Amino acid sequence: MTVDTNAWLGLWPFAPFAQDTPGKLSGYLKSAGISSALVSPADAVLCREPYTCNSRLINKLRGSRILSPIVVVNPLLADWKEKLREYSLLPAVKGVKILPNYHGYSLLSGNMPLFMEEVRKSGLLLMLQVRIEDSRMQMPSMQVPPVEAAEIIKFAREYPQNRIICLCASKREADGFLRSTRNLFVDISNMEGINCIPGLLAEHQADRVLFGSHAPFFCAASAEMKMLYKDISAEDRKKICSANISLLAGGREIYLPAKKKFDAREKAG
Amino acid sequence: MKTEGMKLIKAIDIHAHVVLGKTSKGAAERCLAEAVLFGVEKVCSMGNVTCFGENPEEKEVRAINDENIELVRRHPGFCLGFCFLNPANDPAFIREETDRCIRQEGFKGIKLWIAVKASDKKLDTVMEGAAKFGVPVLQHAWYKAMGNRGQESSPSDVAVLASRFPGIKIIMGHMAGCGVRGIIDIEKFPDVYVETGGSPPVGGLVEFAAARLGPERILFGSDVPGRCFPSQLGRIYGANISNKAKKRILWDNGAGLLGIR
Repeated sequence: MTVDTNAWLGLWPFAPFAQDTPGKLSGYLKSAGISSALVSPADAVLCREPYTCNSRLINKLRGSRILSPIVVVNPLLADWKEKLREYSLLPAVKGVKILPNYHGYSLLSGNMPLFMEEVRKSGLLLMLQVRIEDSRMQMPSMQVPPVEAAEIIKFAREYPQNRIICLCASKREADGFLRSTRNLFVDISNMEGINCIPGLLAEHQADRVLFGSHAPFFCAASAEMKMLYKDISAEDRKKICSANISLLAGGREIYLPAKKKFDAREKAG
Repeated sequence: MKTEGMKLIKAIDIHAHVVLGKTSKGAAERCLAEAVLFGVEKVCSMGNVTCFGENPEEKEVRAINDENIELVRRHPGFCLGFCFLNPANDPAFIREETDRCIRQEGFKGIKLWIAVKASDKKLDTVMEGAAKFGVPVLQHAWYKAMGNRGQESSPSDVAVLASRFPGIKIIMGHMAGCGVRGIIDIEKFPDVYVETGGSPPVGGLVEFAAARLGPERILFGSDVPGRCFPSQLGRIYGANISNKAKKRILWDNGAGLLGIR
């Protein structure tokens, strides 16, 4: 069983996705061995009004047992608090994602304390997108740097009660996050280098490492294949692929395929 | 789930460094062990090309190739050497080094990095060597958002090179760094292949290249050790192309190009 904590659906102006419907995306993820996924609206990254994009995503994913929405929230917008409360009342919505470098604010800015408090109260997962693209591969006129690792660490230390999932961190950044804090979690989507995942697990416990593909920006099979390192224990694999995110989600059930189908696939696999 | 529980397709990695930059003891062997774990049966080693900077002198080029020769000798049949050259070096040295690596040591290709743009006539001696020994030239290429480094080649430079030397096999490195536009740049040159490694596993590009160039002009490359084999293989394994096309990209095309039976 693999839960993808880092998937996207929607329009991205620099590269049209072939997986542009919930059906295509879930089929694509399933073909890579992924059972269910937390999905964010790609349109919301470059949109001043992310809530329309969130609504579109929520509507598209309604009834899906494989794809669950993670909504994008911008703490600079006047109605973020109201929106956060609204989303927290929707059982389908599993969490919120923030993109400070795309939306033009610092994690250390004055509006973050209240935001972090409200997120904590909401019970929603909090995801921080460290980067979306390799800086070298962005549109030259639209370069957005990753969120600085030092800023993220300082941010995490200021809010020890919040658990923050950092998406698309590099192996080096992830190592620093896990070493320097207790409340930062990382996904594996952007980790590279020889022996990357076993190397990370040799230094840190698996409890704060999550499976993430960053599909369809990245190939989902690449993340799935990283879990094939024989030095990852069965226990750690289970934590990374599903148990950790389920624990983080608390009462918000991460949807899984119908048990019958799931069992059949596990036997076949 | 372990690799033995998954059907792996045997692969030739056309673009590996095995060691790169500052290395620790045993780094090469750890890299090669990961290759084996993921079904990579042949690894083309470019050498530690970054260790002396962008524009290495002759003695530095020789040192890089010496180290690579030693690696290939330690792993015969598994590691296949590519001769690293700097087109800005003296033509007599380039000829001598090409002869030493390819004729004497059996290296399978030539590797060019960022010392001279591929469109520069300084590449003539290198290309003469490639023609003489019938080996491919792997040229690093990118379209970088912040602009390429001084002499770093773009796919457009590779297209110029291909137009000047029809018949010589050229491998354009870093498919994702070259992007859709880079693939289009070399589309009309049938002797140019694209290599898939050296960037995050960006989705959709293998499918695009297969549609525009045909799978017969795509080669699997990892660019390890900066990257990892599962990430880089995943873009082929997970691509929406036929299994036959995947096998071509992972093995057949490289085997044909390098004369491996």
